[in-house]
Amino acid sequence: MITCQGLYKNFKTYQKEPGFAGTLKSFFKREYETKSAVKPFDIEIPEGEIVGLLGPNGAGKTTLIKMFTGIVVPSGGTVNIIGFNPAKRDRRYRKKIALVMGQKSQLWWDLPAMDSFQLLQRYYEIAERDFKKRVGELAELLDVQKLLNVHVRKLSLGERMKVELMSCLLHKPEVIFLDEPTIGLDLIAQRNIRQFIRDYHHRNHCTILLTSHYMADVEALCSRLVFILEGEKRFDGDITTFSNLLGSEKNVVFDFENSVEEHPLLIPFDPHWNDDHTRVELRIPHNRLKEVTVQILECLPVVEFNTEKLPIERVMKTVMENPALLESAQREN
Amino acid sequence: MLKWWQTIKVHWSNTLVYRVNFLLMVVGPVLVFFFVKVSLWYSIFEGNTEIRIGNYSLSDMLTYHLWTMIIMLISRSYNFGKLSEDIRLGRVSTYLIYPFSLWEFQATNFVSRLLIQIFIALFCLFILMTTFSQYFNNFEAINLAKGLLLAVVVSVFWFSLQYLIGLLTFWLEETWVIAVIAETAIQLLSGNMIPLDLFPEWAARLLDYTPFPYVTFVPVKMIMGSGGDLLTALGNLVFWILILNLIILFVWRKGLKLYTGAGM
Repeated sequence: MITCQGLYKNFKTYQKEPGFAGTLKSFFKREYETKSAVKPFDIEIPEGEIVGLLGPNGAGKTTLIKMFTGIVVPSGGTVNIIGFNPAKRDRRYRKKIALVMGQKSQLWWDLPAMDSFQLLQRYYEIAERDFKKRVGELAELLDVQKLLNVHVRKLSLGERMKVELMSCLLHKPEVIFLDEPTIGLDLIAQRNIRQFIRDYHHRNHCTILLTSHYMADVEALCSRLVFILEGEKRFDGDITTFSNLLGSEKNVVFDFENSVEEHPLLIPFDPHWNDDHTRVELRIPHNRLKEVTVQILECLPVVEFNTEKLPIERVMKTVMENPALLESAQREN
Repeated sequence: MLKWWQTIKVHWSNTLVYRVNFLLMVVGPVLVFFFVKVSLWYSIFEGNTEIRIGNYSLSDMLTYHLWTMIIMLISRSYNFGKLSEDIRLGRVSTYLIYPFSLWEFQATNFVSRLLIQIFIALFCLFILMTTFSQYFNNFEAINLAKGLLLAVVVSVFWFSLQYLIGLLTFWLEETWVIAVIAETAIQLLSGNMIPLDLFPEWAARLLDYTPFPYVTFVPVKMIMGSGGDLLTALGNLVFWILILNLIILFVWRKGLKLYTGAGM
């Protein structure tokens, strides 16, 4: 469905020293630098799968999506998506894909969403009856029936994202690229969008490639995760394997009656304190959980504690600080 | 065609949101330019209706510039900076994904504006003809139709040129300086400020090998009844438009390889 081999992209940029002197210097002599945004990248995504692309800013996630959608021409390598080479921008290919950009509106800002939908109906050559049915279904699923005739610029960010999603799904794409679909949204709006994507995928069995900074998006939607660091694929596998990268550690949160000083008992477990030192988060190996918890309960004024799996954000942060962890995980996978 | 028509309707709806701004952009520069030229020629003739410069009396010159204004109102495009900005800020990404190309989108935008501009030009012509009837004595309706037809083709020339300059953003990032220089040079070389029959003969003969005389001078002269053969003028314009579009195709293919889709 989606396959690429040795796909890479280099960008040429020029360096400019700060200040007016730098501007003058760069006017006469520019020093160009070739930056590798994506290093030779291989991936195979079967039809109907949702895959999460994870990585810090500048890792190359969006460049990959741009190459997959045909926005950017790759510097080398091969890519085949549902039988097409995206760089050729075949109209038949463009009718089968959709790109949702959380940071960029594709709707006409000064017009109601319905006007943009009608335009898209013509672009994608959707029959009138199918179009009406589709708008009705999607509007109901997203609960935006009353927003379709409101000018896009007057919608809230969450509302706008819903109509953006709608506009991208009108033509029933076979492959959907979601680039940060929940960025900037409040928690409830994020949950609604996630729920919608999950339901939509369940109903339509389309292939989805998602990039997000919110791990909750990836955790809620994807079973497979691809982790990119500095343009290179560093992990490709099950999300549970990624979560367990740091071993079988548990995240335990202790709430104290009053402010507590640093305690030698806590130091080996990577303590994360809140501002007034009344709460601490520890990473405790599973086999020592009982012993350590009992010791802390005896020594410190604990009023409440709870245990949870290590959040994926913490896993990612640790992995970014120590990429060697990924190599062993990738071997196991 | 339905795609084109729907896009044109959306462009109109969008234009109507900022209608005063649009009207000022279309009419403002042309009117200002017209009054500058009228003042200049009035000073050159020292207000004397007896003096002749070349074949022109003051009255002929004012008539020439009134028709120039009408040709400009129809043919001049007013959004040459937009494509450049859209490429620089990565806004064209959307049209690389939709099954409707960037060129089609820009062309529909051009057609939607052209239709409005024709309406505005005809309205202005009606006002001018009723207010300054003395300058509109010697023209025939058939010549007016020929001149206006040429003006429409000239607008396609302007659109193609500005689209090409906009595409240079793939390399230059900012192209407005080039656009302004090109526009000013073409206005001068097309006879917009000084009729080309007042140019030295060698210069006028040199200009015959360029598209510039057909941009203003020929359409105006066509309306005034001395513009020559319509088919020759149309053939020349179409030839240059084809050349521009071949260059556009080449530049687009090369430039797209450099596009980074910024801002996404």
